[in-house]
Amino acid sequence: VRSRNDDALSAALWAASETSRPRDDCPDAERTWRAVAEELPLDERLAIVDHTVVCPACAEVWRLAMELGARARTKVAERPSNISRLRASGALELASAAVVVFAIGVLFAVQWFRTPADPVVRDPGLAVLQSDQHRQRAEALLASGDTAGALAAYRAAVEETPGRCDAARRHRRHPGRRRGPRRRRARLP
Amino acid sequence: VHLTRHDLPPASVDGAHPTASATALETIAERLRSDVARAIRKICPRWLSDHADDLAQIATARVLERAIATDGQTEFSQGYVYRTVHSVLVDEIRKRRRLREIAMEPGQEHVATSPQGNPEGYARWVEFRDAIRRCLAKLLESRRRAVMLHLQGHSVVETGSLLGCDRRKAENLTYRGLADLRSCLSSQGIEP
Repeated sequence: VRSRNDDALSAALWAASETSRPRDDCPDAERTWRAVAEELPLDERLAIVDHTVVCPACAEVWRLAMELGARARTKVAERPSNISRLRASGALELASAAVVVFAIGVLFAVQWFRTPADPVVRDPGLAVLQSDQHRQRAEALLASGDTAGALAAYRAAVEETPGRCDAARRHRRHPGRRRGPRRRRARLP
Repeated sequence: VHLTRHDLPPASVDGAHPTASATALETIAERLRSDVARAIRKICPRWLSDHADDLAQIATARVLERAIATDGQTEFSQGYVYRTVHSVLVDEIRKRRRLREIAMEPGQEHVATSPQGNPEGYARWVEFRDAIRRCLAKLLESRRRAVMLHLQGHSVVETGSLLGCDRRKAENLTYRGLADLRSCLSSQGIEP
């Protein structure tokens, strides 16, 4: 924000240009316009800015280019887009973080409600059927008509399956114990 | 005025524009002249305002000559027209300043530019004006550039873009540079 103090400084600076005499090393108007419009490389631009400090006449040329809108007319797309403005204000990062947190929450919620897996509840042995290998074995046993053998095979498979069937094993050791509100509501044996 | 090759009248076989198209060219020239005159009046210094119409005529002629020379193959946007206006105006200012410096006695021209009406006020004004230049020269290079652009009227964003740095750095350079400038002026007994 410009203060009145700055305006006084600017006025004095401009007043100096009114009585200044152009020098031999002054850049031509075209180059100054291109510098204001940022069409020149950075080093050449800075050289002209440095020159305007010591040459009031060229400071005036710079100011005239500004007033004619050299920047606006050359760089129409300088105005930041909505995305850029959001990024600059930090709102985009906040929104992204909120979306990530929400997605993680949804994943946790889904996992939480899926913890009491239905196959374990209905029949501990069915948990084994999740893999193709155990499914094929069960089908073979059932096809042979040996129901008792098939059941024993199921139980053996459950015992051999690490990790996944802990709940099933616990259920078989303690058939009366129920776990989780859904099973209690269902009053399953 | 956005002048394209479609705006220009078609050239005849021998290169001259047919008479029927002369009216169209005049219409374009008139439209261009009014736009140029408006731009000239906007930025023309007061002491040069009597010649604003002449300058508008020169700038218009320059754009049209260029358009005809390229046979309308080049697009002349508003940016080009305004750039030409700037060039014509600067050339005229420089030419007249050189002539005036020779014609007038030393110091005579300062009287007209002083905002104060009395000699004391004028003396203070000149001292202030010269002190700013002296103090600007003493600033660190990066701060001096930022302060110069700030006093020219550029925003912080524009200053950063022109100096090739980000907004925060441009703001910092401008702030510190202005503080240094005021400190320097105060040390010389000058308060803006």
